[in-house]
Amino acid sequence: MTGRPDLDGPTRPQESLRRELFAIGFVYAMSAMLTLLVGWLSMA
Amino acid sequence: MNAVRSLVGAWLVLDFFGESRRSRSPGSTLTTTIFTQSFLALVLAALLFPETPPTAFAAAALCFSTLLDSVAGLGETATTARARADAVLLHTSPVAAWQRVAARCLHGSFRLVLCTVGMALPPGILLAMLTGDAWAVARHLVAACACSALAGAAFTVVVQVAARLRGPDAAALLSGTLRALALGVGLMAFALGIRHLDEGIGAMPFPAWVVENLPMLWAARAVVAPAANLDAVVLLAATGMALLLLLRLVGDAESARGRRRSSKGLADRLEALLAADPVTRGLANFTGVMLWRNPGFRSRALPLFGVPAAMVLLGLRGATDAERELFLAVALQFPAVYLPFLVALLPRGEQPEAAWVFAQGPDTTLARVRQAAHIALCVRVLLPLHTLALAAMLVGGVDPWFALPLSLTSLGTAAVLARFQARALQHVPFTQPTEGAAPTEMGSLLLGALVLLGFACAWVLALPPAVRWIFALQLPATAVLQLRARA
Repeated sequence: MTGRPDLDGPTRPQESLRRELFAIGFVYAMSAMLTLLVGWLSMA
Repeated sequence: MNAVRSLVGAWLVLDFFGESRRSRSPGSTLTTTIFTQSFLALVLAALLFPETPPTAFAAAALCFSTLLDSVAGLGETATTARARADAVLLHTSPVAAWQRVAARCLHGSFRLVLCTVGMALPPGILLAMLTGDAWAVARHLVAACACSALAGAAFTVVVQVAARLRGPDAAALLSGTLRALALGVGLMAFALGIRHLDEGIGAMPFPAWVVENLPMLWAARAVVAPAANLDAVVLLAATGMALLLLLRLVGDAESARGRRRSSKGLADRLEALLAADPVTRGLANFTGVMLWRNPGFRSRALPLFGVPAAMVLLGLRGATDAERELFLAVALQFPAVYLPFLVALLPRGEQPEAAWVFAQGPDTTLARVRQAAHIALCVRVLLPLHTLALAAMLVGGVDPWFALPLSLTSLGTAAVLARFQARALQHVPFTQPTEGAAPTEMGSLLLGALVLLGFACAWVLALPPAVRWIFALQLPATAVLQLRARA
């Protein structure tokens, strides 16, 4: 125990790195698709 | 390899959930930041597309992502606490030196890429459409990561040098100040420059040598035409190597840990000079140091002074001399007008446990607490503010024979009033819990403000210069006598 709230204790069940990374990947994909749409509409 | 993976995992968990653990809110702040930044980059890229020339488009996008990344990197308030926690974690676990280095590199680069790719993807795709070269996406992503890394390294060097010279607290303060500057100056420069993107470097509202030497512009040239701009790539790599070398020279956060210089500054000496007895001196020193070290107080008090600062700047551009003088006199009364707010913010602090230190002292009377708060407010708030305002006026071309008595009178008025305002204090500053704070009594505030502003107007409009000097000498002298009085 270090006495610091940001380091103490195990990872909480609601803290899933995998889920966060998946969410970020999803955002990247969505923003890429949106950008393609914006680009295509502007060029058309 | 398992050790490296565990370390990177632990650090990433702290990156994602550290902030929400501290504030006890669900979800991850880092993910939200990445969402927002990605969306902002998409909007910006869509606004600039397709009229902007490719190099200017890439440069603007790179500046934007680098600016946001730097602001996010500089704003980490818990860096010192985190470095200490890391030291405990690393020194108690069976990890070899190379594993530690590998974990640091992996974690740093993974985090940087995670934050930057979201901002670089939309402009990268649009750039590929603009140039008709699909590889531009990849080049833009790499360039964005490189620019963010360079900016991050440059800021780290500056902060580490401060940590070496003045200790970790000064470094944290510098980091916060740099962040505010990067946000304010950077966003303003960005907003000014973005309107002239398609007119070339000469049309930018900045000196050409500044724009030419921006690493983001070198990177943008390399992204659009890599073969023709190999020198830009070499230049970027050389800058990176130089920064790495500098980082190696100034050392890392762990080696600067715990180093705190206790050299006495000018403010400490002034407080010691003004306090009549050692108890008041100690209380004044504690209050003075905590004034700007306390994040809650800083975040509430600093914005209060944005208005008078803006007024002084506006006043310097006033139409006629008479209008300008009136405006400046009114603006300089604002610190005195704000005093009741500052006194109302004083008692509450993030560490109310500090109260026990003062509870042990039999001589800690309320009169001394108020006297000490008066000294601290005068030395650490009013004096620096009025000195800054005087310097701004002199640089702005205001007649020194007007600026000097005005500054002295305003400082004296505020310092004399501070004594009466400090009587509202019921506790030692920064020793009461932040929750359940009593609402501030603001009834007499408006009246006080009106009287002060009326005094300022009368001082400018009705008093001949000789009488102004009487006020300018009399009021600060009264304040010094009050400050020196034994509580």
